[in-house]
Amino acid sequence: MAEPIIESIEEFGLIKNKKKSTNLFSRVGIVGCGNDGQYIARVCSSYGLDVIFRETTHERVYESLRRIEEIMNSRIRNWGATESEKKAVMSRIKGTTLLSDLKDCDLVIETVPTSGKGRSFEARKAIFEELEQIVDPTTVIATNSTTVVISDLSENLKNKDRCISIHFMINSVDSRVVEITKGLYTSDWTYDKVEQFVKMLKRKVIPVEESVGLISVRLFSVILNEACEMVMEGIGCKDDIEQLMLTGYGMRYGPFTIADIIGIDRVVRWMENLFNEFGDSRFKPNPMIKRLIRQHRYGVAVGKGFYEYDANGDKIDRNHLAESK
Amino acid sequence: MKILVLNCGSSSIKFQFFNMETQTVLAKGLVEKVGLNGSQLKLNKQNGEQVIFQGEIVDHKSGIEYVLGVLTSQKHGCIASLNEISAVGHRVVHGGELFSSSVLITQEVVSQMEKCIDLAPLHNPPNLKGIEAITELIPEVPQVGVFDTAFHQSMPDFAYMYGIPYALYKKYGIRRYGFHGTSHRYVSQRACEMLNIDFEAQKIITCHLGNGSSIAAIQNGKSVDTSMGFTPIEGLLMGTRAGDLDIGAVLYIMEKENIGVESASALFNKHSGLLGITNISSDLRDVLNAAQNGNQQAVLSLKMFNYRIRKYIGSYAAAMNGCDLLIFTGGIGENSKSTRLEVCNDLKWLGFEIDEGKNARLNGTESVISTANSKVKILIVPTDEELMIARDTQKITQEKR
Repeated sequence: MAEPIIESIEEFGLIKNKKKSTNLFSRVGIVGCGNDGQYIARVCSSYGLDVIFRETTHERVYESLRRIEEIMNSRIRNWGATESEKKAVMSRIKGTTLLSDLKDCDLVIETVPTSGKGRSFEARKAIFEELEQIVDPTTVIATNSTTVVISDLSENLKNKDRCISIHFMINSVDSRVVEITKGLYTSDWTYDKVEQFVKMLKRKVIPVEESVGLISVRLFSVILNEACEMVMEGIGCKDDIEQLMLTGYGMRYGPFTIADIIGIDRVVRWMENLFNEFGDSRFKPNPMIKRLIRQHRYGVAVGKGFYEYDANGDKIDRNHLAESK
Repeated sequence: MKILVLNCGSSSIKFQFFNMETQTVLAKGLVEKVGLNGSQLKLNKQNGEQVIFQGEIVDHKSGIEYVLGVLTSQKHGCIASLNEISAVGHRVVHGGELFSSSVLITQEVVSQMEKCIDLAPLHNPPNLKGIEAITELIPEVPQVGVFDTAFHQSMPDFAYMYGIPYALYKKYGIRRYGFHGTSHRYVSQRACEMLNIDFEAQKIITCHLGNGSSIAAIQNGKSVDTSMGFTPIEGLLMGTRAGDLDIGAVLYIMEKENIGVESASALFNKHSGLLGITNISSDLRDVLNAAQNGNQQAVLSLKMFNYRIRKYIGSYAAAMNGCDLLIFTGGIGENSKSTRLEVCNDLKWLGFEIDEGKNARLNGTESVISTANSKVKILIVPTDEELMIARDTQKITQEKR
């Protein structure tokens, strides 16, 4: 068969010279590709968007790609995806060490891991400012952080109205919900566009007023602290509290398992930020959680936290092991 | 009379443009990746040329606008102005219980179609977007909706009901609807035309075998049963779909594998069928090759595939108390001689006698492939859903004049 003829479609519309639509994101940039970044990259890519992420070193770029692939493999093992879907997803994700490679993106999400008190805020702010120099004036710049508010992050930018906070919940494949927060300067245009983007990813939008910890982090911190408190007081044991939340309240995971999935170190940073913001002792990390940190039991990622996990991230059932012995 | 047929998917628009006087296709093509990066419109012209139009296509409306623009363009078009389009026919996936035949689209019909969205949340909304786009772009042109489920609405209640609480039927419309209706209707009518017999006095079994497969029992011109049910998973073993499966097994798997609804849906829709059994491919041709090379799972999957078809044919012969015509269509039904042979070979007792020579020789063509003595006539009829949609559209818009 003869080669197909290639044409540019713009010449063929009924309505000539129409304005180019600005409804869609087609290329998403991600700055920092840890757990959250990997999750966002994978989700965006599975809905057909091109993704480019920035990591600090080539090793980390490689590692992030490897872990995204690993998650896709695990999705295949759990019947959630097919081999060809994995290929398509991986083909749309690129990594780089240069922020300037994100210049063609129409949405950039910052997902830099929080590291130590106060440091992350300055780092994030610097990234926002650097991004503004690189990307188009209409590119939406967002943060996935829950513990800093978008108004503070964007205050030094020329076009602050394109900044917004988008928080993906990453603790389970079924947590198809995203918190979106408008800052003081965020325009309706930006909000609408991001809302449409989230809906396109088949996730529910939860609009949240600007406040540290949003809904998800603030509420979870208190639940986890209270659960630890009850263990310490001897009111109930860990497994029973988990079971009660699972069966009694229909939760998919109990508070200790969720904390392990999110990462204990991260939960502690959330709590510290909340405590700094609100000054309320209910946000202060419980000693049980601090003890886990000292023992480097950071959760699923390192194979142990409140519980222990095998290489696939599946919980090792100690009771079951004891019985079978 | 020139008719445009549209089939809008979630991110694609298939189109065919017919000249009904000559029953020929003037142009056809596909808009891909609507609303996504890398969207494009592929056009196959009557002269065999293929043109790819690249650029941003943000939604269905803009996709259809480009389709109309391309059809009327000097460079690649086939009509001088939009006035030459007499009507537009839309393929609509789910018509629920509200539509038992093709209909002229009015505002009332659109609001009824909106009520069917829950039944096909992935498919019906883009179909509606296509209708909306045409209404905006060429409001004078009449439109017709042709439903994938409509033909099977003649099924009797005892065939379409499930043995679950009746309240669920009332509440959510849980019942068997069946799919591929336009194809089953087209091939059964076409076969009667070929043989010059009365469509409304036959007992016909139609096997639409492709990546998705279904069988229908058609008695006196009406579908009385079909193998797909509430969703297209039920019935035959398919490329990646499980087909009939014990609900107890589903529940057990979900519990053991600790998976939710989404993963379970992927498991039974995407990981099962030929692909699931063979772990090689969902494409029958690959599976046939593997079986020839001695792969035992491939051999098994083919046996399962054929056996289930045979079982359905047997049960539909019983349901109709006989069978006059057996029709094969769809990618596999039209082109896999071994499938047809295996299915029919063990049905002699019921009066199905396939002519091995004809079956091999006439592969892929519109033809009769049973022996002269066969009680039941066995046929290959290549399906043409778009033509059927165009014909319905022509008929309905002419009646209205």
